[in-house]
Parts: sequence; C-alpha cells; structure tokens
Amino acid sequence: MPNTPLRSVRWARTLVLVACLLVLAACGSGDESTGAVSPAPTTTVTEATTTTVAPTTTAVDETPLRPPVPDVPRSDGRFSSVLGEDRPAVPVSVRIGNLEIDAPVVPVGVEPDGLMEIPGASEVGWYRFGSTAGEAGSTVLAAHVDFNGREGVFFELRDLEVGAIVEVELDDETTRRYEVIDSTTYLKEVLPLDDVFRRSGDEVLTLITCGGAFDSVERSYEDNVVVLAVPID
Amino acid sequence: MKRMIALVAAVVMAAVFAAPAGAQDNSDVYVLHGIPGVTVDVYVNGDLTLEDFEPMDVAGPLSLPAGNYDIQIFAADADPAADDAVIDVSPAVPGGESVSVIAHLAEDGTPTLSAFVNDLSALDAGEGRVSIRHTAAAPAVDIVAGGAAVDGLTNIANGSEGVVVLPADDYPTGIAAAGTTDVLFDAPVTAAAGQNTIVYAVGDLAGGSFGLMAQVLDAEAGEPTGVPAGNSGLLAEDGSSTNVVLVGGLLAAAALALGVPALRVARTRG
Repeated sequence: MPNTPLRSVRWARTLVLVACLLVLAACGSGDESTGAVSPAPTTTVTEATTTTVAPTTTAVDETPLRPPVPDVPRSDGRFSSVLGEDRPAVPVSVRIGNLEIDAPVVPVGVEPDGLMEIPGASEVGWYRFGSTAGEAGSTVLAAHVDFNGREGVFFELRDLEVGAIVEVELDDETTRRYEVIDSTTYLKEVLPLDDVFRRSGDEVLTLITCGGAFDSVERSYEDNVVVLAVPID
Repeated sequence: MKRMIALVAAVVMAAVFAAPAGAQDNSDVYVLHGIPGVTVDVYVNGDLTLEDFEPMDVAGPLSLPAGNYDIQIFAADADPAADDAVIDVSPAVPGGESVSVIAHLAEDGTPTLSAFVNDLSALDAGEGRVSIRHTAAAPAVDIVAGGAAVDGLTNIANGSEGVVVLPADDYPTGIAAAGTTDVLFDAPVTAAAGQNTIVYAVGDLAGGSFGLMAQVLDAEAGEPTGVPAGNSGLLAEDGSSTNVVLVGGLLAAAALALGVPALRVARTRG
C-alpha cells in the first residue's frame, strides 16, 4: 500500500467501489465479507452508488423515450466537395541560413525501380506522394550531396546542427519555419523508410541526402544523412 | 432488487463494451445518403442513429463489431411506430474492415441499400486506388477514357463496383452505358497516392437527378525503396568522414517516429 495517508484513502475508496460492483454483480447482494476492506466506507459508497443508479431504474420502468441520437460526424459527400477541396500549399523553396542554402524545391515522385526521384544538383525534391508542410506526418525534402561531379544543394547537410533554423516557402507565399532536432546517418540498408515517409503523426520536416563511404564502382554512397526538424511557429 | 439488476446490467454492459468478444476488430462503417430529394432518419437496431440525414451527406465512421444490423430508414417526419420504413434491411457488417453503406436507388428506381467493403490494402509508392460504385437508377455502365473503356471499370451494374489501381494522377473520364463509348456524364477520376478514391453514381439518370458522391480513404501507402542522393564521391575528396549508425539506428528510428529530441543518442555528429 502507498504510504501517503491521503492516497491510501483514495485507494481504499477505489477498491471498495470495485469490490462493491464485483460483489453486486456476482450475487446481487451487499454482503460485506470483502476481506481487508473496512465496513464503514463500504456503506457510504454503496449509498452513493444507489443514488446514481436510481434514475436509470426509473427510466427502465417507464416507456422509453426516444433514445439519444449518437453524435456521428457528418460531412458533405458531393463529389465536388470531396474532390474539389483546395489542395494544400506545397513547398517551392527551402532556406537554411547556417549552410547558406536557398534553393528551389520541385515536386518529385518515384523512379520506375521504386527509388525516390531526386532532381539535379541545384534543386531540392519534395516527395509529392507524402505530406506537405503544415500537414501531419513527414514532409520529405531530398537533394543530392553531389551529382555528376558537382556539389549538390545538400553537400553540407551533414554539418547542420541541432537548433538550426530551416525555412520552407510554400506556393501560397507563406513560409513555415522549423528547428532541427536531430541529425542521423544511416547505412542505406537500415534507413527506416516507414518513418521517413510516414503520412500521419506529428508534423516533421525530413531533409535527406547521401553520405558516408563512396562506392566508386556503383557510383553510390553507402549512407543516408537524415535531418529532422519540427515546426516552431 | 431492481436496483441490483440495473447495476448488474450496467456492469455487464461495461464489460461488453470494454472488451468486445472475439479476436476480430470492429469495422469502421460509413453511411451515405444517395437518394435525392428525401431527408431521412436512420435507425440502427431500433435506435435512432442519424436524424435528419440529408441527401448527398456522409456520416461516420461508426466503429461497429461484426454482425447483422437492422437498418430502417424513414422519411424524416415519419413516425417509426406507425409509418412504413422506406428501407428496411439487415445487412451483414464484417469485422476489421472499412465498410460503406449507401442508401440509393436500384436500377428500377426503388430505394435500396448496399454495403461495400472499402479496399484499403497496400499500394506501391505513387499508386492510388479508384473504386467506381454504381448506385444510381440506371443500367450497367462502363467508365471510358480517350474513347475506350477503362480495363477493370466495365459493365458495372447497380449495386456493384469496379476497382482499379493507377499511378497517382488526374484522369479525365466519363460514364457511358455498358458496351458504348458515348459519355453520358463526366466522371473525372483522381487517383490519389496511397488512398482509395471512391466515386458513387447516385440519383436517376433519366429523371435528371443524377449526381456523384465521393469518399477518399487512406489505404496502406507504400513508400520509396530508397533515397539515392549522390553519385560523384566528392564527400571523400572533401575529407569528411561520417560514422555509420547500426545499433543506434533503431533508437533514431524511434526518435524519427515520435519526433522525440531526447532520443538523440544515435546522433553521429554534433
């Protein structure tokens, strides 16, 4: 038993109430042989319970009124309302002051082989099949660390530190500001794709590029650098 | 003694609702009103569940265990004790599914009710599912695009559906009588990535009350298989070295999932 007196009383009351319900449910009697529980509180709680139950009993005896209508959410199901909704604003540029990055963002999808499409060296790709800034889930912005011999927009992403500010400008001319909370390098084989591209849950901005050892035969890096930032507005 | 019974009943009810029997999950059930011109009251198992339910409206989701449900639909101002129901059916609701139940007109124009299971199964990244449901007073239809019927969306009869998976995009399409390509009604189809876009044809084609309803439900969305964002090896020439996270990857994955800064244990660079 907890040793704080007040808490003990509360616990005892809870136990008594539970015990009461169990006893009543089991044999329909107020038998007080409930072990450690003291008789006095039992009586009190039973009375309280009885008072609460009384109106229900009355209602059962009388002709039932119209039952309460459950609160079921409703919406306009017209095609034009459901599919004509304004589409959410999408990223058009990203600024990371600490890295002197100010680059255009273009919507991208997936390559035929299933990999994420990444634009050329000077642009950032926004994964258009996922979330957009301001929505639940992960808004993914990916850019090359290098591409065809040129440094890519995210060449220095691995140097971005926790606390840095990332600004995403949207096509409705608003800007959403984020603060970096994490930077992690993953072997590509263990990149948690489910999380990187998650479409629900807390809003997060996910910046991705490549890093780590370079395989000069495959022309590919072994790692992905993943920076997470959360909205601060 | 009545008190006791009431209390026992309450406890039993609580137990039933707290722990639904069986391993099967509840279904998410949506109710749609696809009969033009009539505001209705919907009774489920005798209880008024939707009052003054307007045409073209969607209600739900209701979380319901598997079973047969008595659904009675009355005109909104009718007396359920005295008047006849417009629709009185007992459709079966499966467990663990997304289900849409729509009150609509049969091909001959009589009010009826159909239950559809919404396919929310896995889609590849960039793919969307489209379900076309024929719930209008009209003969079977084809969905046509570019002068030809769309595979998988042909000969859809009243009370049935055609389902296709397409690359996410907008598809200008139309509805034609089955076996023809003369578009009677535009039905632009949007395949939204990771979602089932459900389009219902409702009303009476000949009577001029024809229209479309829609639902867009999240399916299990696929994601890209990787992020190839470098091909030149400039990082090595830059002299940088990055440590690879293996064990920490799991923790960081958790941080990613939860957005928890405290799990920055796995961070490799300051």
